Amino acid sequence: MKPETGAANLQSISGVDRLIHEPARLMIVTILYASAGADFLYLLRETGLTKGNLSAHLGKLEEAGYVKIEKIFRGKIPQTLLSLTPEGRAAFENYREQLKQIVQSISKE
Amino acid sequence: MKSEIDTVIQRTQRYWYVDGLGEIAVGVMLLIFGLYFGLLGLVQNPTLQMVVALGQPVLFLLLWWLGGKAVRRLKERLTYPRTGYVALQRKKKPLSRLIIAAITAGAVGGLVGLLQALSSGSQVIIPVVVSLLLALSVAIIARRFGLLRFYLLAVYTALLGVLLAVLPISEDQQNIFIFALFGLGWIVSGAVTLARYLASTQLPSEDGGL
Repeated sequence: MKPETGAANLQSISGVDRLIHEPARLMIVTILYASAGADFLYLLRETGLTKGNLSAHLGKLEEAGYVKIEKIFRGKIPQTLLSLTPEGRAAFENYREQLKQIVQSISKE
Repeated sequence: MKSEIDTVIQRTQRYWYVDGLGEIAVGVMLLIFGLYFGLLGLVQNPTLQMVVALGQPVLFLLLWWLGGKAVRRLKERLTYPRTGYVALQRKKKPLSRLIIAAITAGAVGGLVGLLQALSSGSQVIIPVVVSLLLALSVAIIARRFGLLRFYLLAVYTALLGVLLAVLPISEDQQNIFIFALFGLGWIVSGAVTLARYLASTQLPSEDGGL
């Protein structure tokens, strides 16, 4: 690997969205990207996180404006519905594109 | 090679099929259609026969609407409290794709009609063509969502068409059996999936929250 390309790779890796890059949050965002929204229970089961951990990650994503959290009632049952905002969707697409480019540049070397 | 991200996306998209309820609904719908064709064969009066035949699209729309409503209600009782709720993404299809779909549907309809006209007297071609087209559609769903049981359904559908083509039965009986047996296949597949789903999941003792 040439030193300049290695440095370019490192630079591009450091440029990825760290909020999404964290494995648990990446899984949450991926699930929400593949759907129009999901409830807390589904995310809890799919991610394998604890309730507290999942809440903390969702809080960070909501703070960044990536995730919208709604409390609704399905019949008499309260439900927490999560969905990606347009900003969150764009951020995930951008993250995926960046990852693809990094993988391509590494495999070329 | 499929990435972990692609795997999670596919798993989320196939969540609708996790409980087999949709398959049971489609199976019941097909079974009713089989019985409908049976009824059509029993009616001797030409006027009544025409009325029953014209009712076909109404029956289809009614069953589709009722089936969708029943599946959503059952999912709210059985699936969402157990493993959660996922809202399906409904992307707006571009006009070009809709035009291609309409042309394909027209071409397939025309092909079936043409084969029917050409094969007058021969009852072999129609069930084979219909079942192969259905099998192809099911295989496309199987591939898109990574559902193994749908591949099995596709094979079953294709074999069913071939079997019905070679059996010494009338065209009316072919219509009845192709829908009824195809429907039964879907019901069995859905029922097995539902039984396995219910056995592997349970209602949480307390509801999750944020």
